[in-house]
Amino acid sequence: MVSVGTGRYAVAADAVSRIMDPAQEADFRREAPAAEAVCGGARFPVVDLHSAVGQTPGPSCVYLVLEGGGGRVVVPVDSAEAIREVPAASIAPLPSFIFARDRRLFRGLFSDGRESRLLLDEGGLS
Amino acid sequence: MTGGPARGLIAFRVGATRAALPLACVREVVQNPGVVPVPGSHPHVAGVALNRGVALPVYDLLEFAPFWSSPAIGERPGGRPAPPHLIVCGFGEVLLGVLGDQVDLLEDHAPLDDPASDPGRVRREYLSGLLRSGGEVVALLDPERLFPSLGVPAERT
Repeated sequence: MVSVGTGRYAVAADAVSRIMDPAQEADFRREAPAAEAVCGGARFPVVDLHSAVGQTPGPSCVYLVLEGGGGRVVVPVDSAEAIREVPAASIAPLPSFIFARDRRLFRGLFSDGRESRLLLDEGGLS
Repeated sequence: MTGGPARGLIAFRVGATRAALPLACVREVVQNPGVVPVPGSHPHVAGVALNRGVALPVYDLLEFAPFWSSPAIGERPGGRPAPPHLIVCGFGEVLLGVLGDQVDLLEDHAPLDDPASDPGRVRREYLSGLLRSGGEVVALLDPERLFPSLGVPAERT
């Protein structure tokens, strides 16, 4: 589970290859014009989830490195909060026809206590 | 709410407009459905709601510009929450939800046969007729025209 602004979303844990904290990574830097992050000599495209969901980033971010269908991307989130076991059968796929574009950020919905939670589509990000 | 008379209608309010759908296409009515907005979806998609294990697409007709002959200015003032009812409809193999207010069975109604009858702000192409009920004009929606226009396919994708 991650928080992005005031929203909470789910990311498949097996899609997260690394969580980078800029405060702990001496050579981490963001290159804004190219929307890339550089760390350990590797370049990662950055997906601006805050902008996509209409939120502004908090004072500190951690960066999820996600393995998607087309490669690795970096997604800044305000915090990575918890790991939760959610049976695959409990995740309802989102209908594709609701999306305005072919590229979509979310792929599923599941019940998380009293609320329903969207699941990020790591395959659609890269 | 399922079943009912074969030619029954369910009425609801979309902003200031009184509308109705054939009961034959309505599966149930859910109160306070818990709609989750989906970034990147069409503007008239209010979000999705979990309904019996299905992520139900939820449509807000007030946000569907082609449905209206003039902009819906002031019909949902800022800060007012979305309508509290979700009318779950079947369209072919697909289930979808339409947001509505003041949902009720429309039992006492009469057709307005005069072609000059005013449908209000709703475009006629989405209507199968106009009714009068309780001194008010009711726009009878045509699911076969409306739902595809919202982007809903009749078959699961």
